[in-house]
Amino acid sequence: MKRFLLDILLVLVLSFVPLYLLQWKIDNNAYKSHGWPYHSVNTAFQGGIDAEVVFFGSSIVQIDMDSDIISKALGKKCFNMGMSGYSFDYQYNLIIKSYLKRNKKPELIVLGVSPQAFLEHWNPDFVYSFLPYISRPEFDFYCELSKDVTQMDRYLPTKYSGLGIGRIWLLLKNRQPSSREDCFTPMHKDTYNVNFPKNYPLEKNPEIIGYLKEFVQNCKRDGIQLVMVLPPMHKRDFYDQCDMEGFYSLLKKTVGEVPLLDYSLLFEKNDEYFYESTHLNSPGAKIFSHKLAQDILELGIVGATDTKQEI
Amino acid sequence: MIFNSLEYAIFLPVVFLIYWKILNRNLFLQNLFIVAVSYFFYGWWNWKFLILIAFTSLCSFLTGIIIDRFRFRHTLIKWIGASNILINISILALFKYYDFFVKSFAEKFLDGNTEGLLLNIILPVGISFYTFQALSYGIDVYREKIKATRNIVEFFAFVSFFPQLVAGPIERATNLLPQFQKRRTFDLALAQDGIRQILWGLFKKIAVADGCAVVVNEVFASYQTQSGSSLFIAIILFTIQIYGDFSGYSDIAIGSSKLFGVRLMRNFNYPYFSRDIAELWRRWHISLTTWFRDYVYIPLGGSRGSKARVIRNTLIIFTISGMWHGANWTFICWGLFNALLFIPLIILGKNRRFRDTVASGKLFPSPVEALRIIQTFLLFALAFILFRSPTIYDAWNYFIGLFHWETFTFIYKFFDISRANILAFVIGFMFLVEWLQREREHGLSLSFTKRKWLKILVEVVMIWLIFLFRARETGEFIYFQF
Repeated sequence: MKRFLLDILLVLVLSFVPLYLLQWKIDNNAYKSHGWPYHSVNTAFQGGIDAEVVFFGSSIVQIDMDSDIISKALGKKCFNMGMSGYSFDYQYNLIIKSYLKRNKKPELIVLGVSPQAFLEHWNPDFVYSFLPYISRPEFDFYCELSKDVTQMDRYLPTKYSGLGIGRIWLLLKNRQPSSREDCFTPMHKDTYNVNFPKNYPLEKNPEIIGYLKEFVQNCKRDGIQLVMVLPPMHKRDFYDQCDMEGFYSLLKKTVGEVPLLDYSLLFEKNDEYFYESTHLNSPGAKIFSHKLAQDILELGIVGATDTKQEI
Repeated sequence: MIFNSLEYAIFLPVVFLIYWKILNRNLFLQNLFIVAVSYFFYGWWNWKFLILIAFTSLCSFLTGIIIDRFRFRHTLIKWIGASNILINISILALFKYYDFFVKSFAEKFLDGNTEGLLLNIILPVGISFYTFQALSYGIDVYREKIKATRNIVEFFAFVSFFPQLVAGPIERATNLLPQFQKRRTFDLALAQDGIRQILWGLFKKIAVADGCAVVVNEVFASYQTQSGSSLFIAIILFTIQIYGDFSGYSDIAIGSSKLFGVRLMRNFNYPYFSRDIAELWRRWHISLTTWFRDYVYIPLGGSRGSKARVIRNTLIIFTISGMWHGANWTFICWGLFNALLFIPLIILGKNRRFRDTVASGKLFPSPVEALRIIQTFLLFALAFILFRSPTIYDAWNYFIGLFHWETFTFIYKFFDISRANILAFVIGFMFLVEWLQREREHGLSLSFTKRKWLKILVEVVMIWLIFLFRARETGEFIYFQF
C-alpha cells in the first residue's frame, strides 16, 4: 500500500511539474506578446495606451477597420481593440471595461456592431485570448456564463489544451501571428453558411441590451463621444438572412441619440471586397476605413487635428 | 457525480484511503462503507432516487431469500420470481417508457392530444443498469446458479457498487456477489493496473469522445444545411465518439473497482477491429449483450431450431436492445437495423465465423481482414444515424443528405485545421494503441513487463496526453441517459 501511494506521488510529481512549467512559459510569452490576439488583451489588461480614438467590437472591427488609415486621416492616435467574439456582453465585460479601467480615456469610441451583437453566443475560441488572465477575479463572470472554462480549468495546468497544438507552439516560440496578415487571405469562394433565423430573438436578451445601455450612459458620464458603426456585410449571404429591420429598431430603442453610421450595404454583394460573408478582405478594408474616416470628419463627430492627411 | 469531474477526483482517493487504511480488517465494515459511499455517489446527482435503488435492491434481496427458502414449492417460487421481474420492469417502464407509449398512442388515436396524460418525470440516472443487475440476481437464484445471500449489506453493495452503478458494466451476481462475500486485501499489481485503466478511459472520454462531440453536435444541429461529406465525417466521428465515451466510461469503472480489489466483467473487447457485425456485437457492450443472450435469447430457444426461429429470436433481441437504450422509435429502428445487418450472417451460417482475435500474433492484418474491418465499421456507423438523430424523420433526411451531390467534395468548415489535426492525432493514437494491445484487457495493460520505470513512464505520458489534448468542453457520458 505504501509503495503504491509513493508510486502515485512520483507519477503526479513527474506529470504535473513539467505541465505547470509549460503553463508558466506559455503564460509568460502571452503576457509579452504583441501578436494576435494577445496584443489587444495585453493592452486592455496591462494599460499604457493613450489613444484618442479607440475601436471596440468583434472581429469585424478587428479586420475591417484599419486604424493606421483612420489615424492618418483624422490626425489622431487610434487603437483597434476589436477581438473575436461578437456578443456584446462578452465584449463589454471583458474587453471594454478592462480597457477603460487601465488606459487613458479616449476622446472617441467607435463601436462596431452587427446583428449578432445581441445574440448569446460563447464561442470556445474566445477563451483563448484571455487564458493568461483567466485566474483573475474579472473572469468569475466569464466562468459562470461560459461552458468553455470551468472553475477547475482556471487552476489546472495546460488550460490551453484543446485549442490546437499549432497555437500552443506559436505561443511557446513567442511568434503570434499579426491579425491582419493572418486574416487577409484571398477571397474564399465559400461563404459562411450562417443561416440566421429570420426575426432572431433580440428581445430575449435583455441582459445584453442592458449592458449596451449601461455602456452608453457611462460614455456620456465620462465625456467620451460614442459612435456606432455597422460595417459592410455581404448582401446575399448575410444581410438578406437577417432581420435587419428588427435590428435597426432595437438599436434605435436601446442607444437613442448615439450616431449610427450604417455601411452594411457599402459593397452589397461585390465578392471582390469580401473575405467571407461578414468580413472584408484587405482591399475592402482599406476602402471602408477611408470612407469611415471621411464620414467621421464630415459629420463632425470628432474634429481633425492639423496633422490630418488627405484621404 | 461523474468520473471526469473534480468531485470524483477528490472522492475516489478519499474513499480509497479510508477503505484500505481504516476498514481493511473487517469485511462487514468494508461492505457497509461501499454501500454508504455508493449511495453518496449516486445521491450527489439526486438523493431522492436513492429510495428507488434501495427498493429495487430490497425486492430482489427478499425474492432471493424466499426462492431459496421454498425451493421445492415450484409454483410459489415461480410466482415470487415473476413478481420480482414484474415489479422491477414496471418501475423501469414507468420512469422510462410511460410517456413514450402515451405519446405514441395519442399520436395514433387522440390526434396527438396528451393533455393530462403525461407524467413528465425525470429519468433516474442508471435505472436501466441497476434494474437489470438486480433482476439477474433473482433469475440466477431461481435457476440455482447462485445461492441466495442472507446478508443484506453485501447484497446492497453488489447492486449499488459505485463504479458501475450508473452505466455498468451490468454485473452478474455469479461474478460480483462472491467478491463481496470475502474480505478484500490490497493487491498492488491490480491497483496499479486499475490506475492505468482509469487513465486510458479518461483519455478516450476527454480527448477522443469530447473532441469528436464538438463536430458531431454542430453537424447534427444543422444537418439540413451540411454537405454530404460533412454528414459523412460527422457520423464517422459519432461512431468513434460513442465508443470513446462508453468504453472510456467502462474502463474508468473497471479501473476504479480494481482499486478496491474488485474485478468487474469486461464490457468492450476492441469492437472496431471486428471482421463482421456478429463479431462486433460479441465485443460491444458485452455485459448487456450477454445479459440479453442469457435471460431473453436462450429462453426463447436461442440458436436451436429452424433458421426462421433463430431469425425471429434475433429480431426480438435487437428490438429489445434498441428499446433498452431509450424511449424513442429511433432506438428501436437502430436495433432493427442492426438485426438486418446480422440476419444475413445467420442465413449464411457465418455468424460465428470470427471468434478469435484479428491478425493474432501479427503486426498488421491481411488486406482482406483490413477491408472487412472497414466494411463492418462503416455499416455500424450507418446504423448510428438512427441512434443519434432525434426523430426517424431527421434520421431519414440525414441519410438522404449523405448521398447529396456534394458528398465527395470536401467542404469542411466545422473547426480550424489545428483542432482537426489534434482530433486526427488522438483518434489515431487511440486506435494504434488499442490495435497493439488488442490481445490484452485494455489499452494500457502492461502485463507483459515487470519494468517499473516503463510503467511509470506510461502513466506520466498518459497524464500529459490527457491534459494536453483534452477537449475544451467536456460533458456527461452518453450512456448516463439510458
